Amino acid sequence: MAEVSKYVTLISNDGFEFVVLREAVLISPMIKSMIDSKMMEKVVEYFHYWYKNREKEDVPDMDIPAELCLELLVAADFLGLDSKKPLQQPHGGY
Amino acid sequence: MADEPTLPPLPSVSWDSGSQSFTRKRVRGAHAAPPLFSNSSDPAVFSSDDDPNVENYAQGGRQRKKRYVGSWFHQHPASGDSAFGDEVRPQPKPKRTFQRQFDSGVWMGSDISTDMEEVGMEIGLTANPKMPQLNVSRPVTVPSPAEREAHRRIIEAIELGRENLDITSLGLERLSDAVLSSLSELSCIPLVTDGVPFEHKDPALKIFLSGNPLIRPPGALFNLEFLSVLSLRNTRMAELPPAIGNLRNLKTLNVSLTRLRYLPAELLDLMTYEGKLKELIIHPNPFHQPDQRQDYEALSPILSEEPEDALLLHETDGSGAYDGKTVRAWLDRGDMLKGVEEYPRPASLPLDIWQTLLAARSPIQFTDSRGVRVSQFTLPRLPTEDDVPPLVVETEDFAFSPELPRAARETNLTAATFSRVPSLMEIALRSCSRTAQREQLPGYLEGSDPHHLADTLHDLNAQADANGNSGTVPCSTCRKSVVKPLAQWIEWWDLGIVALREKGPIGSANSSELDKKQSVPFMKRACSWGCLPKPAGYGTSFRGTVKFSTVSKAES
Repeated sequence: MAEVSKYVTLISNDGFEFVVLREAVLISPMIKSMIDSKMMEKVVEYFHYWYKNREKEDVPDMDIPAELCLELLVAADFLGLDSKKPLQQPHGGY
Repeated sequence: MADEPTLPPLPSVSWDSGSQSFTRKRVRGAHAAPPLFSNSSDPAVFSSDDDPNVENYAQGGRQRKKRYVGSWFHQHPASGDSAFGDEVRPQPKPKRTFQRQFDSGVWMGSDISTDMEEVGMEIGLTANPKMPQLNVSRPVTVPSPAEREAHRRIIEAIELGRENLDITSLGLERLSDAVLSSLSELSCIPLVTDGVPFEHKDPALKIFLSGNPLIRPPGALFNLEFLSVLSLRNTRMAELPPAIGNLRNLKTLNVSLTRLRYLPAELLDLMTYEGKLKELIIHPNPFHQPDQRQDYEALSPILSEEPEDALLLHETDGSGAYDGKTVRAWLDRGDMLKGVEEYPRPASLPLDIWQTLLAARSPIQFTDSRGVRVSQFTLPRLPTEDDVPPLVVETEDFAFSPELPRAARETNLTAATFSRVPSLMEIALRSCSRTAQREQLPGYLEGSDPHHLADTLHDLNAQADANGNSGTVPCSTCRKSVVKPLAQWIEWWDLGIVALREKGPIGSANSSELDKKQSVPFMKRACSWGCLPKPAGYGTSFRGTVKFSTVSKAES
């Protein structure tokens, strides 16, 4: 693994990049867990798992190691991966 | 030179007395002695020279310098050239001093003092343990006298190999799983009589828990594979967990006089022709009632056409309204078994088989993976107080696809909307349910984590306790295990049991067996939107149950 950089780059929706001191960003527990590569790997794996199986009848199981289950639970809650993604309304439909 | 003794060819190893080990000996060509201090030569350690003294080499310009005597593995340089008489004595071995080699792999008694000290100093306890420690102490429950009496009877039954377990009217409010689960070890003491070969017999457990103010049946009950009779009559339980579907050997279930509002859909699975459940005592109970039901008074449960995908079981002459017609009994193969080539034939007559008819279906209650409702329709909550009359629940026409939540209708529905892929939340929850520390998980959440996650994990534990498993419930459509179903609904079914006999009219030829007055609500759930109920025709029966049709005798 490369040496951990002192800074973290945050990229905004419209393409601006902000280089922020890593220690400062860690105030957010969510970002703290997200910049952990093991977590990020599982979240990205889920994106592809969803995309690959989204129209399949028989969906294989995705394995999550027990030690990551709580952190992923928090991440899923934060990322809104707890409900059906296509239903997310910009104005809040419910 | 002729008197020189011949020696075996020199091995490529030689004994190095300095290090007391063999070293690789450099093989030199007979005529090519390399210069001693050349940079390109090998380091001296590979040399056979014990004493790289120049005098050892200066014997008349000879290439061969040394002779070796003795066994090959104790080769010491003995003499330069005996023919020239200038003998070189072997170098005296340096005196060995006993010295400990730390990586020798040999453990010595003296190691203990020094090594232990080192290890102890290296490890040391870190200030912050990796796993957060629980601050809450686990509640310790003292068994009530009634529970102790129940335990005594359970243990007695195991000791004596008794299949009947009478724990009725003890005033039990709860029964711990620990003792109950040991009943799975119960084995029968077989009757040995003359002329009868010894046979292993699976126990047919009969558990009577009636007359106890039990709030919920103990979860371990549903892991008793050989349970054949279960009576929970006159208890205060409000829900029968889906794990009842595990009891494949159940023949009789009595849940009358409880607070049940609905039954789990898994009970229907036990009522197929393969199932053993033939006696079901479920009334009276404050079951939810449909606000309207399919009016099939006119639409007889006896079809005028032969059903598709069904297996002919029996035919007989009709009587009464069906006089002059032939009544046929069919086994409904259902959607699940379509395309299955080899359909197992049910046992031959006489056959007791369930007849089922879908009477009504409630709208779907949609939730997200946290259990937060996202649809307009809500299933009534389980009342907590006593003596609440049966509630009337809204229904929708089951001949059409279920109505989706408003937000879903406003967006473009794609195939992905009905995807069967579980959410990341659901996958994480399933992983949580499998861990050994499932019960402690809520305590491991950090203070900064959202509070509703702790509630979600508490729900998971409650679900696990009720079902006697890790906390998952089966999807009613695809049977996959799911922690938080995304959709739930109630279906009302009319039930009746039909006795098919070789002789005589078919038991329910006039549908008198089907209990139309009291449709029974069953709670169903779906793991994803892909598993929502399909539109069902009128006269739909549950797979594996019986259907009837009539044909005029002239046709047949």
